[in-house]
Amino acid sequence: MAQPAETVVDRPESEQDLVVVRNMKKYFPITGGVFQRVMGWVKAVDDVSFNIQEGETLGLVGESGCGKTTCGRVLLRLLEPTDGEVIFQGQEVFKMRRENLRRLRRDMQIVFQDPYASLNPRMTVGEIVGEPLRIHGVGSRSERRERIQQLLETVGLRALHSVRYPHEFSGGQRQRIGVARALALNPKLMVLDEPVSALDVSIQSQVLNLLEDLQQEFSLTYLFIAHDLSVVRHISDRVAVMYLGQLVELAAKETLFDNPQHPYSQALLSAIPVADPEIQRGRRRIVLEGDVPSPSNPPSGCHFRTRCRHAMPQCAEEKPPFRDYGDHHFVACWLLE
Amino acid sequence: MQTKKTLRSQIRPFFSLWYKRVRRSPVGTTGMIMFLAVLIVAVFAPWIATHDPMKIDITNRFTPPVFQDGGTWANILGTDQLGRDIWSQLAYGSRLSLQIGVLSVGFSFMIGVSLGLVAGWYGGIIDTILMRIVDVLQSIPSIVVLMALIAVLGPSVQTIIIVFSLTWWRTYSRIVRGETMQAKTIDYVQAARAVGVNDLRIMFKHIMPNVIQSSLALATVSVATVVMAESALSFLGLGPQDAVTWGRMVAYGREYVATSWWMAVLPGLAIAFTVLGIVFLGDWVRDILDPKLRGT
Repeated sequence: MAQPAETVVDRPESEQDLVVVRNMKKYFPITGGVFQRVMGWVKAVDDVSFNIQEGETLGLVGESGCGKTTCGRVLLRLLEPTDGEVIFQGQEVFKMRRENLRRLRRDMQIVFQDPYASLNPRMTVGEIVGEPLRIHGVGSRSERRERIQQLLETVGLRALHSVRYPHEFSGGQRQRIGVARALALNPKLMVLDEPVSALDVSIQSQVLNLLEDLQQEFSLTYLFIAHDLSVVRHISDRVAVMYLGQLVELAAKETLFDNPQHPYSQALLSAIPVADPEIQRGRRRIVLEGDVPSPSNPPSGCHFRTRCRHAMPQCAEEKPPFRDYGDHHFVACWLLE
Repeated sequence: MQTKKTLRSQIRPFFSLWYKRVRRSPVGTTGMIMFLAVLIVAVFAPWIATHDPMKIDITNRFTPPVFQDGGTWANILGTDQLGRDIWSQLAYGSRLSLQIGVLSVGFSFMIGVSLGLVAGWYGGIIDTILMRIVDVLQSIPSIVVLMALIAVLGPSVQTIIIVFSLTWWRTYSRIVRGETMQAKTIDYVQAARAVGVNDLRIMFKHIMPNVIQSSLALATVSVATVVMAESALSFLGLGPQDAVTWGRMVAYGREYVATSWWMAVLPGLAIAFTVLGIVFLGDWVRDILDPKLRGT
């Protein structure tokens, strides 16, 4: 595959960045045969660069399997990266040794999608929420107990819930427990991996409001991973659109939703229904043909070209640069060159 | 007065909790009683036994139990081919059989679960090496291993326990390894990693309680198998010398089962009784460990 000698990336970096991600890659090996030889690679995250500013919410959207969850997990080093670097408060996360990484865990936390799988069924809520404190040796036993109760109340549960087990709670309540656990060590960054997509719509808004309140109160920075565009629109300051392991567009929320530049973003946004039937009837939906290609064998050049309405010969030859086209609006598309 | 009151108020909820659990789990309680009965017999064997279990009385061979024609109160459960008292043998035999059964299974369970967790959690080369060892152990007939080890260590109760522990762990580690590999991808394990929990605590605090159920069930049943396996060894003359065990009684009694059924059947029943008690107890332990069934 012909790779351009130098990928042109105007790196989206600035002074207030809490996190800078540069050329992050995560390939999973496909093994097969008698000797478990590596037959190929699934390029789950393929050369992704972005930044998250202190105190903001960066939405990361894309369809299932595009690598957004992997992106979040590699960022936290729950998965080992294949290549690239992540700079968190001036420290290179991917080069950290065990002890430093453990200290870093206090500053970066994650809330998972599935509230049923994310809590150990054999630990009480108090144990679950208190574990981060225990592991990092925060406070005495009684101080921790107090902190646990305080955390539970912060997320809208009651102090007495700490002696119960996860199965005694509803999905929304469980998600609150997950948030309390993530909050225990006063982190700076929280990766929210589709935190509401497993919940009922009415509960979704409660949890979203909670997350917003917490962000205000504890000046948290969020990486909000989701596939639900209206949720992302509600909560994000900036939005990044991902397709097949790569970022195709990154811009402030209003810019992206009002004026999407990449053909994939345009198609994605046209799928959001509008509450007014008059307008909805008159809108043109851009329907993408075909399926997402396999990430183990992505198309050459621009990954989106096989489904793009505007595909040109150039798209197959070279990967479009992820470039700032003014006002911090990053797009990877040859149409704009 | 004051202290008495608080003490009582502390004790009472404890007992009422017990009572509640007993009510909730009649099977578990039955198991507990059965197992305790065997344990009491084992501990108090010298007082419970009516005869010296090893004392040969050639004039008194093949006496049937008291409830059958020809039985006498002198030998409540009859005598064997050498005139030894069956009841006394059962009482003393419970000591070794329990020791061998419970300790071998206990040790092999601990070894197997730990190695299974390590193999499943770390994967890669560690997993490959451990699982190949399991394969090798599985492919060698265990009786050969047993005989070799006993030849080296000499036949004794300790040897038997060591030998069984070293050969029986493989099944548990196989099961636990598989379940660990599944469990380690579940979000709560990832959450623990994200918090900075070390590997050891993740394995034993987060994964183990969620993966030992099937091994625990297997372990309770294995007690019976080990008790019987010991009898096979005794039969070959590789068991503990000069000692009575239930397995040995069954093994010798089998020859005479057509004429003197009690020699084989009674120790067999004792084994079945003990194992059933342990299985019930295992059920109960599993229920206690599961918060969903524990209730409040």
